[in-house]
Amino acid sequence: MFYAGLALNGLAVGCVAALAAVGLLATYRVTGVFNIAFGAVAVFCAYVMWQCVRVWGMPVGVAGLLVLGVVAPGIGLLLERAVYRPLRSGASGLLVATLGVLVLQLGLVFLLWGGRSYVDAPSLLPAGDVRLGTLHLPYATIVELCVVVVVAGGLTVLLRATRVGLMVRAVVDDRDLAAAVRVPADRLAAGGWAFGSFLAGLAGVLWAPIYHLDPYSLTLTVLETMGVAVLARLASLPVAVGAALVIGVGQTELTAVHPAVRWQGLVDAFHTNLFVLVLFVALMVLPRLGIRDSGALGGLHRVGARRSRADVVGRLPLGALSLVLGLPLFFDPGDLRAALAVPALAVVFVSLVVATGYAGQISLGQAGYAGLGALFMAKLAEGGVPWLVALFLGPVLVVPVGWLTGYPAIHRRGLYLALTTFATAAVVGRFVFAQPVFVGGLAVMRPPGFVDDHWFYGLELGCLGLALVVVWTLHTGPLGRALVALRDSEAAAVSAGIDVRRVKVFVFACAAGLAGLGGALTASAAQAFNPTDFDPVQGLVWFAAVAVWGVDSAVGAVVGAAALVAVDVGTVVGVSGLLIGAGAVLLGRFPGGIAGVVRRVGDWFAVSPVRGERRLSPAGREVADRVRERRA
Amino acid sequence: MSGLVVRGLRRRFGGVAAVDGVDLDVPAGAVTALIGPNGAGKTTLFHCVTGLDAADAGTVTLAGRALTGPPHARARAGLAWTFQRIELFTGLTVAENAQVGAENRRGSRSWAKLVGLPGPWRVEGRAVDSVLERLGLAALADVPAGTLPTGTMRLVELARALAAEPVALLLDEPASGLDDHQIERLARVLRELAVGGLAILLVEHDMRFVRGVADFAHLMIAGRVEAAGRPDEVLAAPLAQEIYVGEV
Repeated sequence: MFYAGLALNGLAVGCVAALAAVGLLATYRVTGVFNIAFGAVAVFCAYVMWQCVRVWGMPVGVAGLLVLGVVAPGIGLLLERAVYRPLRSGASGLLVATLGVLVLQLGLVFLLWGGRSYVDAPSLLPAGDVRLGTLHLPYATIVELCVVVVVAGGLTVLLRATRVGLMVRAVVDDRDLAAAVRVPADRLAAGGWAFGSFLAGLAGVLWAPIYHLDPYSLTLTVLETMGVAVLARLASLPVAVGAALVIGVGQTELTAVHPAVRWQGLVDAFHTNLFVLVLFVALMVLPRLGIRDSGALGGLHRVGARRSRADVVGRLPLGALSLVLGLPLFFDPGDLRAALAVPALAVVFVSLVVATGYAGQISLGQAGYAGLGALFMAKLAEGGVPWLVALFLGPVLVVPVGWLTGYPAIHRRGLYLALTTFATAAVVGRFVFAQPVFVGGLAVMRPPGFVDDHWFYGLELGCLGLALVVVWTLHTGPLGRALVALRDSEAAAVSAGIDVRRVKVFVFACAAGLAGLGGALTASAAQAFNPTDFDPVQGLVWFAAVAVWGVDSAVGAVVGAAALVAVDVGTVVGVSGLLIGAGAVLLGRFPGGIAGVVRRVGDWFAVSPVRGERRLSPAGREVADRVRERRA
Repeated sequence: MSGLVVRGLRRRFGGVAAVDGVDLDVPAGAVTALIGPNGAGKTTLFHCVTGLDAADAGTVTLAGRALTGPPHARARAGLAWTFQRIELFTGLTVAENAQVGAENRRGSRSWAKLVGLPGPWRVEGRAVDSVLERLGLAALADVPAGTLPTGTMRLVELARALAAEPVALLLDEPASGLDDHQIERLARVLRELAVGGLAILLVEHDMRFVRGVADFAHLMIAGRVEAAGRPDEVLAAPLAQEIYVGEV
């Protein structure tokens, strides 16, 4: 059954989705960067708009002009100059940099507006509607439709049929090469970013009145329209517009479906989350998504960095770490309560080290696995399993989930792998954590004997120790070498007889289990299941934090978790986001993160019979050896 | 027959037959060279043999057994290969690079071993040492592979392949990026390995190197093997003269 009235409502939803998708694609087409931070730019602009109108009392038109004409393009120009231009040689580090920008902007929103939600976001578009018989078509929808068509059509013509378009494509293809043949690459790239940011701002300003102005949910809503861009294979603007409109209409048509009562919840979940489902299914099903994402991991690792085994649980780091982590036991009750978050978060961070640091598989979906660990634990306990058993059994049940979701993901690399893992977390977040049928009335308690904060903190430390043992096992010996082999060169790993798929799925499953344990601990510490703790956007923040501290350093991950909690407790909300975001943005300049810098300093002071010999090439070192022998 | 045998191998890309019914024998105990101009289909053939690309038709046998399945399974079955563009584990040392090759060879799949429990597989360490010694890499065993010069990286790649103690070895332009001294050493090592019973196939553009090291040569043009025999005979053929004018 098709309802014309609903279809018109759906058109409105589809239009704004199309606007966001066109913005994402347009940015990608004119800059060569798939800007994950698009949603955050949108949210930031929407907040500035709200500030201008509701706090400073500007007229909506003036505020709109200021936000869309100055603020949004300004952000684009600033990001291009400060972040993306220094990274231009190749795509390396771009993914982490865009993630950094996202976290940075969200941090800024939290810092300036305290992360508060507002329902009175000003609308740029006129109220009222056009009557078509019995149907009403809002003016807003008409304007949005026009904007989408003009942007998509205009950009298609510009890129395909004009000289400027040709130059833009040349810059996207190879910026340095284009500059070498006197294409004004810097100016074109700056223009591309300004335009992309303008579209993000436009999407944010138009979306805010429809949805609530809320940092996480609005960012997520915009991110979910990535499904439309993926359906268009990051290439065709008309396909993206068409897909967005069809999904938007489909979403509202579903409201007219009334199945048996027990299925109604599921249908409701579909009709509010069709976009995220499309993102997930498209990423899982679409074969061979080609994309320029080579080196998406760049900046995460130091090229040629020697794998330092001592790093995992070396004597010095382990001793210092135990000392520092033991300190909270002597804190006053309030501070100890805050410190309970540290070991739990550290276990989640360590799971990222396993997946991304050791095996080179980007995983933005750890929040989903962490939440499932907590959920399974609570459900098991509800079913009569003792809490202490459930605490470990819950995460074990996440392992097969990691296995199942990891299997399609292993065919993806770089950006698409990142999107696939993110989509997994988004689907779990929307279809499980947000559904009362799964999480309503869920009680979470600590295991008997560990109810006291001191004892529970001790239990957490034990779990962290267990996680580090798992990591140590995965890092050393043949399996550890196989993982590094996989990270460094998949082709060579295959030629050495490594079953790459099996190893990848194995790692994914292990990382999911560890994240599940971290999630179970988080919920136990809070004695409640809070879906916001496992928000998919939270997963992005975690990933950026681990990247900053050194994605291949387990010690870095633990210290990073402690630092994140300390900053969150000790300062105002938003500061941690700013710091993590700034660190991730700068990661291209200090590959390997903070742990990488520490290791480099360590290398400098490493035992070396001849001063400065470490800096010699191997051939030079051979000569130095010979000289020494002769002297002896 | 021992060694690597390719029969009737075909691979088409759209309307173009990149490999058009190729028969190729790579006997054990000899070095066989595959030569030909760019675009002749040498690399496609190479990929079809290693399983990196799926052949449309034809068979590949290794030591009398059909070689099928994904690349890693073929590697475990005793086929080793190196790449035209160097592929190394830059985060591992030279010795560890070779060790990865040794650890994942035939009959070495054990979970106890995978998770690093001690056991009788220490023998791999000795295999790695002897390979490094043979290639002149012993002094660099603990150096991170990513910091080495190109020529030495090629040798590390070869060490990784040899550490798996393969039945047949496929080398894609192994001499490129090597200096004269290293080329000489490579030629000597390849001769020794062949004498030791290994079947070696090399795709190479350096005709001096081919003359010096190969026992047999196959000239491939437009997807077909047009001439085969001793390197001197093949290179003396009019077709080869046309392609490699001035070089042979």
